[in-house]
Amino acid sequence: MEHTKTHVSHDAGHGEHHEQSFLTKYIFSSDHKVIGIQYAMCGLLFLLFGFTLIMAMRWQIAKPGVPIPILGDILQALLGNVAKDGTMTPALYNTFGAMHGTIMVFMGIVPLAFAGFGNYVVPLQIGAPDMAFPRLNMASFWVFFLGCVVMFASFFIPGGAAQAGWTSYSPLASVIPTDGQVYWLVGMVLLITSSLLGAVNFIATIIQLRAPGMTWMRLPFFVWAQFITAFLLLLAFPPLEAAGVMQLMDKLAGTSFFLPTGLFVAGQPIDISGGGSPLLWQHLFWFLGHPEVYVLILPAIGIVTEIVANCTRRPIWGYKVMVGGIFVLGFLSFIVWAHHMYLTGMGTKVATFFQTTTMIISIPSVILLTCLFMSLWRGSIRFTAASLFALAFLPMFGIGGLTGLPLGFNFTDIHLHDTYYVIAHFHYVIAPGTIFGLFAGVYYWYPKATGRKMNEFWGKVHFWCSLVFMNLVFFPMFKQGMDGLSRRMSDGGATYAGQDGVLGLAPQTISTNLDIAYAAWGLALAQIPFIVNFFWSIRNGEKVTSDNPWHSTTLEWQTPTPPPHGNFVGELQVNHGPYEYSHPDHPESDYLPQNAPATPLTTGAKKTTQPV
Amino acid sequence: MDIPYTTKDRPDTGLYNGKVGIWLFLASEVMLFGALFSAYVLLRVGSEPGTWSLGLMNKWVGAFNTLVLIASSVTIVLAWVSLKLKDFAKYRYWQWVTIVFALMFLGVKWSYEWPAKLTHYDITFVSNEAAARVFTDAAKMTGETSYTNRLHTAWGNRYDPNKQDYAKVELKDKPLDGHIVGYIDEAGHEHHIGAAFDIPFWSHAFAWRTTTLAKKKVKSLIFAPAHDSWPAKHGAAAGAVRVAEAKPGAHATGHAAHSITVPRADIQRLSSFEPKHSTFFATYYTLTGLHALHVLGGIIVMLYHLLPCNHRLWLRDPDRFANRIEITGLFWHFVDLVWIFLFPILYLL
Ligand code: HEM
Ligand SMILES: [Cu+2]
Repeated sequence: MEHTKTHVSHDAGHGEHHEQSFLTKYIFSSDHKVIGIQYAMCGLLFLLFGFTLIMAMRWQIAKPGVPIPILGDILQALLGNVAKDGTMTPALYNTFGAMHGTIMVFMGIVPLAFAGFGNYVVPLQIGAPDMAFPRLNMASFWVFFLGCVVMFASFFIPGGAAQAGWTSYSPLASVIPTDGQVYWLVGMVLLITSSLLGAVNFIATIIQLRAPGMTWMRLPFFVWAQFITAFLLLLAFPPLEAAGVMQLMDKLAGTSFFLPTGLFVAGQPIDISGGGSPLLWQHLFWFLGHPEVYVLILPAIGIVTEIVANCTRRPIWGYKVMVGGIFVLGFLSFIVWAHHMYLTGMGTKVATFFQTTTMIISIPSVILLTCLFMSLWRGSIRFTAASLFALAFLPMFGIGGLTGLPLGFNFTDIHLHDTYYVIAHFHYVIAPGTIFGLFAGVYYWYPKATGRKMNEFWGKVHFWCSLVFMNLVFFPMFKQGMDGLSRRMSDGGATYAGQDGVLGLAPQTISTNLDIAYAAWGLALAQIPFIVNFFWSIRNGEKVTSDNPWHSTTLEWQTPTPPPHGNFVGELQVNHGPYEYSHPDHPESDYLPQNAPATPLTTGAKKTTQPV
Repeated sequence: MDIPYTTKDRPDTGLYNGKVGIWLFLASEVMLFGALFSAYVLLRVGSEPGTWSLGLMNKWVGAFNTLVLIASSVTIVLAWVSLKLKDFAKYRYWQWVTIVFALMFLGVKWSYEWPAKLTHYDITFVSNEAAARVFTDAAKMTGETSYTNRLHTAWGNRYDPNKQDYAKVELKDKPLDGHIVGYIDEAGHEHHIGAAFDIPFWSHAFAWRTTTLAKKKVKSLIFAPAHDSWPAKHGAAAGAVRVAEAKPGAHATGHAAHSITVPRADIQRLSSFEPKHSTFFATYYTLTGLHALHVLGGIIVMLYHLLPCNHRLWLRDPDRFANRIEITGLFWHFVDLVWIFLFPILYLL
């Protein structure tokens, strides 16, 4: 155990540190916990911002052409003619739509789930003093921040932000004459670069900095989830970066990577060489895009797993199977991407291949979910705000996943592609799925970061209202989609209205837009208790009386609260698996921290003699 | 606070942190260039006859640069070995040699390869008749009456090494390539290289496009067809002619013998070998440009390692410094490797 010496000697190490200024301590910090919080706060802010964009859009499709109350005037003041008289023009609708997707995915969820929780929790859970490359970590945050600034600034340039959807399909994205797309691409290149640096850091940290005794099979599942997520980012993001560079060349240097020969725009042939391939963009985009959806979901599954074990006071059922499952999932996620492209004319043989892999990938997803459900079996569940969100994640993710299957078969996708059904599908996985997982994580780890708990009552109000309204918002979209309502229409389908639903959209398909708008308002109101609770509790929440208020086994709770720079005090030796709850050999307490001394009683005692 | 294993290997993985980091980073780089290579394959396979200008590259220059990079990969290893042998002076020496090689590589690109392309033009024509007129002029300049043979070889070498596609592409879409020497404006005035051109630095018309013709009110272009395909009759050496063109005032004899006039009305598209020219050049510039950025990044890192503060690091913690050079070396080998793929696919195949 020679290397333990280098490992934990922070008391001494800490003494060396001079008083840090506010700037180096909270702004330009290389402490993983500060960076984690920076990421998380940015992520939360952008989730809120992206949500505001969609609220304006839902107003527009519920009441096409009617000025938006209050917000409309603000938009007009800020953006000018695109929000003429406080209404939402189709161009503005497109802008908000494209930016909603981009912001939610790349500036909201990834920073919060992967970078925020990952940074704060992973080094603590593996018993490391920090990330492997603290300064790189800081660089990664600031590159991310710069990317966000570019994206945000693009709203205010002439012509506004990008308009071609979060998928930015060429030729559309390349021929819209405004600069929004250029900002989008530059912003994306920065965000991608940041994610790549982060991914390198996470993987290196998990491989290299596990505390003595923290063997691979003792890693909390959240760490596994982050590990696989980091690999997805590391390997899937560069092709999009390449594609981004090529589209940037198309925009700025006039090349034709994604522009076909003989392209006419507004009735005029455009001055390009042609010879490019629009499908190439789609392939490169979805080569990232599909792994990206697992980037969005895996950290949430990780959080939920931690909380399920904690709130059921039982070990996770099938931990090893889950680890295997997540590996298979990660691997397969690289070979399903073209299920987003069945209708592009890429050929039936290709479609058949991707249909097959898509069906196969649902197996590990189901395995993960099954293990989590099984873990609930006969547990005496503690219902807290955190655990409610975590538990609700399971059926919501289930609905999202199952509704993916009809999309994965080509023959059903022909009808469903690009309809509101797709919107409903992926929002079930991401909104009541991932975002619920993230809320669970906020309620769960809040006491570690602040030393106080968030208010439980308002947490539960937040939960129940969110659960109800989420479903009221997204469930009707399945029906709208099956009725044939296309996504991305700025009038909510009014153009295609018909009498009977045969020659056009049935009246109730369109009027559902209004019902959804009400539900969306409900959802917005339901977030107020959370926002208030979040800030109020920093000073006024119930103080925790121990470092481990949830009586958890994992290492992040075995540190002072909040953990100091360098994290752990004294030597750290891990002796136990991640979820040794209600251990039959230890009746004195219903949980056994991973670093509890290895007593001869422990059935797993033989493990403790293993080297790292 | 100390991060473990920044210098020493972790016993169970046998690696120090930086090495894990660089391998991961390189994995992502493989995906980055992998995607670009895939794009290259897809675009090339899908390209129509007469649009993939593979025969244009100067293989020897490419080969020279390949050798330079390979040599630099060796010298950076020598730099690292010197550190392991505790010889800092030797390290400095080899590190500088590596940097010089790297600069040489970039220099060739920056001062020769790219500018030579950006000043070399393709003209395609509005109709087959117009094309025939211009090609006939070019042939006359060489002392022949028919253009067919010359065009066959000129076009074939560039677009059709397997000699299958000549008949598939219309005459008007077969470009005439060469340099812009001057132009005659709508008022009948002649303008020549130099003052009238935007960037005298390159001494050739630089980055003109079809739209430039209208902007400058060009009536007809004075154009020197590429000398290897269309040698002028009096047998002047290609180099000499180019110099003659380049000098303002020297045109009077220069272009009279070695150039033709091409009416603007005959021109469908005028494009230098810039990225916009074709998907071939788009790919060429994007791939080599991104690679050049990596070379530049490597140079900056290597220079950084020569700063005095890093000498102090060496004195304080030699293993750590040697690790940094090792990591830089790994990156540098990767940059070299990318070029070893780029060279054949862009210059040879
Ligand atoms: C496990 C089962 C899953 C299957 C079989 C599946 C299948 C599909 C298919 C075939 C599409 C394309 C539909 C179309 O455009 O016609 C799609 C869209 C989408 N899915 Fe899933 N999916 C699954 C899970 C997930 C998860 C876990 C997420 C995210 C966390 C997700 C996020 C998305 C997104 C964002 C889109 C829409 C992209 C767009 O067009 O803008 N999916 N899904
Ligand atoms: Cu997918």
